[in-house]
Amino acid sequence: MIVRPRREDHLVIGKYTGKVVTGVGLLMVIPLLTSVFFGEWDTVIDFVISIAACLVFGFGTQLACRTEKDLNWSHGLVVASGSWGVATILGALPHWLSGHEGTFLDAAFDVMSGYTTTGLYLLQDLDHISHGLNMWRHLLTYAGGQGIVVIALTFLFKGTAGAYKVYVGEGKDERLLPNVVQTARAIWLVSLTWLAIGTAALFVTGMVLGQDPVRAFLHGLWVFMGAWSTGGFAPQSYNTMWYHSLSYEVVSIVIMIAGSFNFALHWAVWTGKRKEILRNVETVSFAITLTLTVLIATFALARAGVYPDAMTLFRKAFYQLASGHTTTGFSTIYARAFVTQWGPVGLMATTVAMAIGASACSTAGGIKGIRIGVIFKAFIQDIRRMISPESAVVRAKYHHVTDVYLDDGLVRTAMTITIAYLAMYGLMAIVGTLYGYDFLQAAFEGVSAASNTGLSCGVTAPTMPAVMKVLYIFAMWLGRLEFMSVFALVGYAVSIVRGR
Amino acid sequence: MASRKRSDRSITDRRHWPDYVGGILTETGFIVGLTLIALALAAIAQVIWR
Repeated sequence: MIVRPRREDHLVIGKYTGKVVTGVGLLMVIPLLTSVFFGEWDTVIDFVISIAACLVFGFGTQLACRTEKDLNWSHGLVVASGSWGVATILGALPHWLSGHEGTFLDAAFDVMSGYTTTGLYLLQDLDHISHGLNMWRHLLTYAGGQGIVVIALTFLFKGTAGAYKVYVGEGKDERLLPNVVQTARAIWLVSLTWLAIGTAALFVTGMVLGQDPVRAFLHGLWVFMGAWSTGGFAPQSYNTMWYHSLSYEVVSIVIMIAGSFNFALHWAVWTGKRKEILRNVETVSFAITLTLTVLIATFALARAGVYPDAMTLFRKAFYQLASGHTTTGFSTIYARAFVTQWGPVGLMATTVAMAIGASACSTAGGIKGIRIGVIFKAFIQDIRRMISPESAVVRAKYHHVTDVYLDDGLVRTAMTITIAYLAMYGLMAIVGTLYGYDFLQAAFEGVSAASNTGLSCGVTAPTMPAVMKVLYIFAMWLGRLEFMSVFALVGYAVSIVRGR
Repeated sequence: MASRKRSDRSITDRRHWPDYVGGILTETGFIVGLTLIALALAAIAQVIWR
């Protein structure tokens, strides 16, 4: 029997959704101030309207949903996915008001792409948008990488016991420290420290390349946000190819791979467990699959004679594969050149890298290294069990901060989520093909959206069918929140209609 | 006792920072290692199919 939610359930969900949306409104103050600084008055008005909309919704909902009740698990999941939906609609206002988006759907697509750290976009004339809107695009992706709930946890939730349930609902299930608010603060410490170092390194590189100080700083900050959040937004339409710089590429590679690490790994390494980086199942899995996909693409490209020398081959192949595997989406290759020059083998290698993705509890998307590691270990365990005597006890373990013994529950969870991702990748490829795109390209773009990568082979464009835009929005949302909290939201909606 | 004192400190306490810097350098070293492997693969591929 489906139980209809009670009034108290609606109130607690409304209250915490209101808090998250209030946080989004407060976040818009940063691009507002950027626009004021640069005298972009049209953009200032856009942000004033958008902030007002967020605060009216946020405070209005909190006022209408006053309750002392704390969140339970299903509330947490519904708040996480529901607040992402509302935050997308309200966060799209500055995009839509700017006049750079064809429709409101395009604006919502770009904002969902930002929050989910995907990096695909439909915005037109990117090279001429205001500094304020560019700041908002990159801030979206940085905030989305942190988790907009983590932001709300840090500043607005004041350590309620239910806060952990919303945090888990957003796809982050590691406790770096015993308290969830302390965990959120530790995540901020890691991110802000990398923000300072990464932005400084890109600023200096930009200055050396001849950018003026203001441009070097803004580009450094924005490219950092795009890289660290594994989002892939960049301030120019040529993405990171615009810089034509080996040093810019190396610095951005370091940032995007570091951004794809599990925050628990960061915290372990930062608190003295240095060897964790060589033992952790996620970094080991990432190193193996990245090297294998780079090997395949590099050898295919060398055999086809696409690039004239080893250095160019290394720069193009490693950047594309590292960007794909970390689910960042930065690219130093034109979308069409990628399809025509890299051929099916290169396209497949990049698709596999994107599908696997990077670490859980990081800013990255995809199936995740920990699940690949768990499934691989379970596979080996089964083989060992088959060749061992019947009475033998075969146990397998993996290392993730501590040693964890495999049990059926762990393997089942890893398999369930992996199958869900594979089904979604397949669905995206089929729908793209039905709309007339080449199968391999439809699969590539679909995996790119669903794994929150953002590399494009040219399918994503303002002219793509509206149905595909909507499907991509849902795929980005599902992929980022790892299905469960979105399913909980759907279940909540069903229980309102059909519950008793 | 020592660990108790450590956990009592704020995570931003400056006595933690040498550890944090070490952590950042470790992470960077790991990434540079992966980059060098890719560079070696490109060099080998270019030699094979020159």
